[in-house]
Amino acid sequence: MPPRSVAQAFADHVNSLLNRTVTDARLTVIGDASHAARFTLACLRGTKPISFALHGSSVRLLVVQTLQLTGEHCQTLTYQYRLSLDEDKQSWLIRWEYYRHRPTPAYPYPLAHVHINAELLAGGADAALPKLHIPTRRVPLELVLWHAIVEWGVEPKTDDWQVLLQDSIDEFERRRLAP
Amino acid sequence: MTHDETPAGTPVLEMSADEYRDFLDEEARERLGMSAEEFRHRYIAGELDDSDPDVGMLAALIAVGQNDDRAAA
Repeated sequence: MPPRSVAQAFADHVNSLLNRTVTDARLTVIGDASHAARFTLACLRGTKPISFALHGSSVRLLVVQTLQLTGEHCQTLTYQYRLSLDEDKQSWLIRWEYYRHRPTPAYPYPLAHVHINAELLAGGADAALPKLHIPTRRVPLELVLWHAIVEWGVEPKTDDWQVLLQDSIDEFERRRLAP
Repeated sequence: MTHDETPAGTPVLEMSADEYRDFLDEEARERLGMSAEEFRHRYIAGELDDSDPDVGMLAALIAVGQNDDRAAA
């Protein structure tokens, strides 16, 4: 299967999941002729990546994910999933970020991490929370959608949203661990 | 630049190398007022504050340091 078809099949799956659970928006597969096996997923207005509305809530989600195709396997190179109150970038709430490889030789942070736009409540703590790279494992987009539904008032479009999201996570893990 | 759609309705945007470079440049200029190449250099040099959400977004979009663009040894 050519790389483009693999990337498109992956995007079809993600869009199907998004459209059955939390949004009518769709991610676009962006291809770059100079990197035949690399693709980007993002919701676009024209050619501009934008956050998209989530069902029944004012919170929005920005998804930027770069993919590298190796054979018929779709590897995530990077992602940023950004939950925000509106389209203004200052209204961001939580950002999940991931790099498959260190982006710079001196990069000292966990490659998968989360930023939170908040202030620490602990008295005497000397840290700016938005600057912290709080370690995570690689977070599937499905768990971000799950979080948005459970914690941020996003209304699921179907009663079986948990089954849909969990099945997708399980299938991803099955393929990831397959010999 | 060609716009297409998969049978399942996923939008597909294919760009030439020049168009893709322009796409990254436009994003970097609109979000942080610099070219994509300047962003890449300044990010690798540690000059950018990645508590700015657009710094993280552009680093992901440009895929700084990944594969053939890998900055880390």
